[in-house]
Amino acid sequence: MRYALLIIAVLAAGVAFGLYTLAAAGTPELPAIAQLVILNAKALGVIGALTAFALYSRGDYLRSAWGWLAVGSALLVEGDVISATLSSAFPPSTVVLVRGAVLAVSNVATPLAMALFARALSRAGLDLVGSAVGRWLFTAAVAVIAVFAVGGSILTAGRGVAAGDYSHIVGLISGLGDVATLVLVAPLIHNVVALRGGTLAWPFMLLAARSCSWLLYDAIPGVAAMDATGAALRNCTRLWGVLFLFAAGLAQRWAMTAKREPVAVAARQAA
Amino acid sequence: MSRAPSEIVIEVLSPYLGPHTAKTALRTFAQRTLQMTPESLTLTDTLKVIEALKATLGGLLGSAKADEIVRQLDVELKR
Repeated sequence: MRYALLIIAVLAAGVAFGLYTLAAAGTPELPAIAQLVILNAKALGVIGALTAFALYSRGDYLRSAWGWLAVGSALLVEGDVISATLSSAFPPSTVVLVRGAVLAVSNVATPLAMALFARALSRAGLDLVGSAVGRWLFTAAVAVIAVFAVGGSILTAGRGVAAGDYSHIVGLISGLGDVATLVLVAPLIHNVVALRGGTLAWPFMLLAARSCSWLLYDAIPGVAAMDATGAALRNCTRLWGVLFLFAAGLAQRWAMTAKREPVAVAARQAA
Repeated sequence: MSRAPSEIVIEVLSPYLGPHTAKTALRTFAQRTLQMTPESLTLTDTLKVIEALKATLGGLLGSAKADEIVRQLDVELKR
């Protein structure tokens, strides 16, 4: 029940934020408020990842996954801080390069983390559900969707960088990182299916929801006009993407601190 | 009627790993450790399998939780 409430809370927050940005479209204070909301949500995401990381001991497999996810999300926060603080003191090209370098590391750390999550069960030698062919087909379908969603922005950014406009570096790096992360949604979902009915399925499911939110965020410019409604949709999905990380960290904590009745007690109660 | 050790292991692991992965884990480690099926495990065999499974549980749920689950299984199986 509390996992369902967690999901509803994240979805409601994203919708509320999207509606607010739609209602406040064109007002001078909107960019600053939107940036503040996203920055705080990103900080919550870092807290979520660190909370899960701290539950594991050195050598535990998922500790590395949560650690890399914490690094990736913390560097996203750092990227925003760099933009907000250095812009007034340094030339735009310098700020873009510094932010691009930070985001490049973030866009390596996050797909690496997702790859570790995606391999969690198969690395332990535990079977996933369904045939290997079926799983590969599903992964291929997700890869096509990911390229469709992000491919346009990668091409645009790539052309810009090739033409010497380095302001596109951040977009290019983010796009490539997003494709890698989005493709890994498929094996993540395979883990969720295998773990269904167990508490450990929830953090995996919320991480998949996080990636799907970013997939929607990336796909919106390709399928909708980027007017006030398009911007509101992007703000909504962006907040989902950030908050689902916090939710996943919290779900991991709940999964690991869950208590169950001893078998004998449960059997007596059932009788 | 007393229950088979494998049933107890699956029942204890299922709330965390789900029924599918709980069964898979027991089957995989019974085969890997003792070349046996879960149904043919005795109490002594099951305790060996659980010990072998502990590292995998630690990787997924953390060492502290894995220790707790193994202790709980030990109590449940010897009850």
